[in-house]
Amino acid sequence: MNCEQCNCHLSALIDGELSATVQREVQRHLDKCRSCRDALDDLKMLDAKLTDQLALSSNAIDRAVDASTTPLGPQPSLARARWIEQIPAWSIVAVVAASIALAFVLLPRKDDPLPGTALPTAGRLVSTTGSVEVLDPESQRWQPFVSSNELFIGSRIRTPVGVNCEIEMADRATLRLGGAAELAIRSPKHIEVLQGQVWCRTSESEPLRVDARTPNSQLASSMICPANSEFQWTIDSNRAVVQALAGPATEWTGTDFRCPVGPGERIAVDNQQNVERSEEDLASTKIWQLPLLAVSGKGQEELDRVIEAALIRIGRTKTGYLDEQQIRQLGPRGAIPLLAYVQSDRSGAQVSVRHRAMQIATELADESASSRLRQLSSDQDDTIAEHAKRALQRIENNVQP
Amino acid sequence: MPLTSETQRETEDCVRRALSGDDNAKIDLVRHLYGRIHALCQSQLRSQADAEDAVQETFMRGMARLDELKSPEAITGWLRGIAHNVCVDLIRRNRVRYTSSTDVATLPTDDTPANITDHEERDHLMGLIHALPEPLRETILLHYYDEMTYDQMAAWLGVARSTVNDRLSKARGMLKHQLMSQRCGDEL
Repeated sequence: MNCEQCNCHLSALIDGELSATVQREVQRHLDKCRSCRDALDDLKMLDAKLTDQLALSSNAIDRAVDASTTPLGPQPSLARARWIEQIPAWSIVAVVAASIALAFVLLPRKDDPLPGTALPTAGRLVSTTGSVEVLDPESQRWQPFVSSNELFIGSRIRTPVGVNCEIEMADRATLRLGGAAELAIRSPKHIEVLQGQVWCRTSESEPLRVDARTPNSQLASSMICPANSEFQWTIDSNRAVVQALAGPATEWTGTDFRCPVGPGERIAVDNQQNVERSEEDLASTKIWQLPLLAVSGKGQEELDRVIEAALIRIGRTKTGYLDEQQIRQLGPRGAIPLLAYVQSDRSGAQVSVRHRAMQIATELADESASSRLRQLSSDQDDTIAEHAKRALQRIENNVQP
Repeated sequence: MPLTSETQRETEDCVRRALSGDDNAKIDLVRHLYGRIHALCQSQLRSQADAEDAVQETFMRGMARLDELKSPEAITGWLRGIAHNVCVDLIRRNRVRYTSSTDVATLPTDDTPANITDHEERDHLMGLIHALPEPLRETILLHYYDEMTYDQMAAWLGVARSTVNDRLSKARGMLKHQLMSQRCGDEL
């Protein structure tokens, strides 16, 4: 062992992290080498100084414990971190219950507008990854959705395979449709999912009524999504599935069933009204939304979270493997959100996740990702820059990965 | 890199208990993770007061939204993400405090007096640590603020064990060099 090799091990030596074999070799070298012994002494002095100076304040720890375990209030801002407004939990429940009751009162009995009256706007299309079709209540034909982008009560919207879109309802709920999905708008507070995958997030103050129906109404159901909640539906010809992603519990009722839905639960009901419940791993439920989040201007934070939740597990668990497959199935459209993540401020804190995202992105990317790849080829992280350059080369030469 | 180191398993157990409504588990979780979150925040924020505020805010947000976390093993990335966002918010709002916690210059100079007080010494040391490249910063702070093995640190940071070793070696080497060159300066 030479001095340079010995030097690499000195840190691990003082931390007790060397294997017995290596430790013996290092000790043998130290016995013969004065300068390495001096280096070790210096290191021990530094270590003692750092240990002494870098101590946690037990007051600060106690404060953090108290602050994070007292009953919830609204999210405090950083400036008020030490003076939290404490709203007792019961009053939050009362407000939610009141808004649900109010929603029932306000929902019009007859959902279809009177003929001849101007159609009020119920929502608008906010972003889309392709072209979307609309069936206006007054016309009988599906038409491509054009620039006026307002949706009226009684409209139906549908997406072709591979296209996702995002809708903002008049009362601020956000809806996202997956490919080959269809929904009907009954009112600003009431939608009906007819086919495919639909995700919704209600606003902070307004609930949303979501009906779900399989073809020919073999299964007809209804659910009130409380304010501040997130749910996802998947409807096909045989069954309806609901996943509760966030927010308070609620109830899902149908012709012959009635079940409570708690956060984190997944409930499937088929045409025979058989109910199946499970707890779902939620990290991967929004992977299909990645291309849409990359397109919409405000999706970056959500996109970062979805990617991190999925990629942090890759290589560690079987579900991580399945998540990776799901991302790969997005094809070239999946490259963009991954690259957007690599470029975000937040990914800097997660080096290995950032590397994984980059690796998958470079395998999926096509010309649509070129400008992002060019930006990344001068990234500070060499691994990232290398991947970017290689991907650009591949795309330019049109070679299969 | 082991799939789940012992500290990761402890953490996941704590999370499971906290998710099932055990309030004591939340307390355990905060105490268990305090050191490493402090290391992360302190690596981003120069001032100790700011770092402590950021850690407190991170745990407040994290414990309040713990039910968003459905898989206990995702706690690491999730909580680190929250901490990172909190630090970014704080930096954006307090630009001045990010660059210096005292009125004195933060970089070491040859005129540093030999008899500086304890508080100043700590501040001085933090200045040297903040002059290190970012990955080295968090790793060295993590080593001293928490009591983890190299394997445990590797799992928390999401890097290889050899990376942890290299970073600690380099960081200590650079700090030693800085401190030594000052000592020589004092003696001249």
